[in-house]
Amino acid sequence: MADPFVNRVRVRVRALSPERLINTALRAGVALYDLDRESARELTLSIDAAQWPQLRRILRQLGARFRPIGRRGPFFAWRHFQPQLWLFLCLVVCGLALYGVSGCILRVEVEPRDGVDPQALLALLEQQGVHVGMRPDGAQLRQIESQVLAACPDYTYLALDRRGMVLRVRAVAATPEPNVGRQAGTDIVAACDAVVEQIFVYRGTAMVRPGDTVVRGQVLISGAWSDTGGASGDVTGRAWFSGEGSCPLQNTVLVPTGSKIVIKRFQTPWSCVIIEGDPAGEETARVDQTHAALLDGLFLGVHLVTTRYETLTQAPQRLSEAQARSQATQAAFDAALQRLPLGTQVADTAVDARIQGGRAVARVTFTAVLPIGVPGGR
Amino acid sequence: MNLERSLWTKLKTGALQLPREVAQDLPQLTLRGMDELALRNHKGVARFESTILCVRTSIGEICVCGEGFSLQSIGADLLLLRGRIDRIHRGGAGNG
Repeated sequence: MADPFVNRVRVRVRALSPERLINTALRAGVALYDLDRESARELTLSIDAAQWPQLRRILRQLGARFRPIGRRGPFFAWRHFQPQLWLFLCLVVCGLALYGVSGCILRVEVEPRDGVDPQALLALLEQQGVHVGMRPDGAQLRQIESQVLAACPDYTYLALDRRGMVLRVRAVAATPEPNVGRQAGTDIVAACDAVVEQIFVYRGTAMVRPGDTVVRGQVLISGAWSDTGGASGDVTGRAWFSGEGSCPLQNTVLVPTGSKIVIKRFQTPWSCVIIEGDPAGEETARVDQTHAALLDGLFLGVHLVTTRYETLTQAPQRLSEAQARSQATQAAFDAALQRLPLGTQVADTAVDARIQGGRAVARVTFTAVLPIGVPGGR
Repeated sequence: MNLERSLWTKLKTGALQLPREVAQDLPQLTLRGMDELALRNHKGVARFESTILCVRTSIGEICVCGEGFSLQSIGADLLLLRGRIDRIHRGGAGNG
């Protein structure tokens, strides 16, 4: 199998003694390939293109007549393209153009995420040298990431991910630091009525002691004499969160009457037409949907739907005192739970439920220990 | 002189453990199937036609007879012949 990547010249030689030619070439260090004896005086051979001038010299010395009949190899490949030169040039131009744009960034995309303003982020990236048409490498992108993160504390994470010609930007906005008791330039005041359990003063002057009862808005740590301009500290207090609920002993509920209605609907993708059993004006509850049959011969989404309903009627219901108390307690529990700050640990729960004027009234009180100090103005 | 040469050859093949064809410059023929012949240590082509190839070697002329011969490559050392090989013998084309 001839090597397609070797440049070869095929020559037809006419000489008195082709063997002499072969031996002379061998002595001169010229290797010959694909020798075919065409006739008594004719020989066809191939030779490396680099050795062709040497062989030509030998052939002239021997007085042989020769004629190159073919050239093959990458060096001569352009000859094949010569008839379609415009096509060859187009390919070259396309290749160059492709190479030119292959490393470029043609679009910068910011992945949508809470707290990330794409426009602001793009402006920030532009300041750091990210623009359409740039040819960044991995190290450059990592450097830009570091620079943006150092320049803008609003982001905790930034990744520049190159996908072909698109630069995808993923950023995570920084979570604001909880400022309970940490904000400078203010006093620390009570967020709710509570009994102080613990107080840690980092800066400022403590105005209360553990065990003191404080009301909402009362100054717990004063920043008035703080030389850095604000109070800072953690205050934990015991607070109470209550909720109330009630439930009447006499109630009205919907009960099934026993009679059933079958409704047949003609359902199309555009509308729904009731063709039998209109339940208008009656309280009903669906019992089952029997089937949705595709009409014969129609391949659209046209169905005949049969649904069975049961009619309902209002009936008085008498609850026992225990049932009413339970329902009222549940309502009060839900109400108290809504007032409780999220994540607060409940230390104790007090429930008071009684019958009052034909209703069960309940009150649920949670005792919770939680941070109560919040920054407040001086 | 012959004795010296013989001793030197024995030293090369025995003590130095060189292959015999290298030590004594003998031709080495490798026949792959019946359509490819490789010949090393040749001294030149005496005759080349489509039915016969005679090659000079250190032990004399080696002739290969057959049909459709084509020298796939020929260099200073190695000769590679393609074609249907019928017979290989020493001496001129007439020797059988």
